[in-house]
Amino acid sequence: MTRRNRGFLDDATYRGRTRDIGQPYQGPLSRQLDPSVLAGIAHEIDRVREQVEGLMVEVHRQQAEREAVRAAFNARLRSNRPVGGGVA
Amino acid sequence: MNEIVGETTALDALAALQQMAFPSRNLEDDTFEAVESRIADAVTAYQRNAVATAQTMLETQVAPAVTRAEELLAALRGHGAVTPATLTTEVLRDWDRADKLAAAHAARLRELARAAEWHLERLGSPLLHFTELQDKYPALRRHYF
Repeated sequence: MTRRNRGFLDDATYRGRTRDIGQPYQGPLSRQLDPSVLAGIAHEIDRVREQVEGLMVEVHRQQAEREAVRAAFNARLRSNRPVGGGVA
Repeated sequence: MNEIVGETTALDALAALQQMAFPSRNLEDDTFEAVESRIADAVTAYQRNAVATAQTMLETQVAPAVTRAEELLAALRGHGAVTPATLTTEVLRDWDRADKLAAAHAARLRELARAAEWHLERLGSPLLHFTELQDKYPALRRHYF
């Protein structure tokens, strides 16, 4: 995940004194946060999303495997017992 | 000027600043510098707080949640192979419990990711977020002139 460090003015229409409009703004509002702070948070978000994906992929994989075992188990029960039985 | 502008949000102060007429270029420069500096200082302080809040969240909530996810994943993968011959109701209960824990934790992680995204967004656009806060809480508005 990448995030642009937008600085104080990026989303505001203000661009300083009228006579300076058209030139890059260089006043006190041109401050920006240390980009490494944003990068650090973005990295953590990526890590969280990867964990979510990893967990869900594993859950689905195991559910599929278990379904197969469950089906085989129920088939075995049916073949051993004439009526009823099985695992829901 | 105080009487004209009063306590405002940062963006309203900047809008008012651009509407003003000045008798001299020096006064104009000094006024712009002073107002912009006050706003920049306020936004910097807001941003510093926001960084601290975000980092606290990462340390106290996100990091433990990621560790927990790794544990759950290891537990899921660590379940021994089950065959129809070794399947019992106990094993079935274990499967269901592990699935529910994993799904609940994935939901918790998604929530944390959304919260962290919000922090990231406000840190990347602090002047607008600071002004939104001033819109919501008038006590935070200031005299910038």
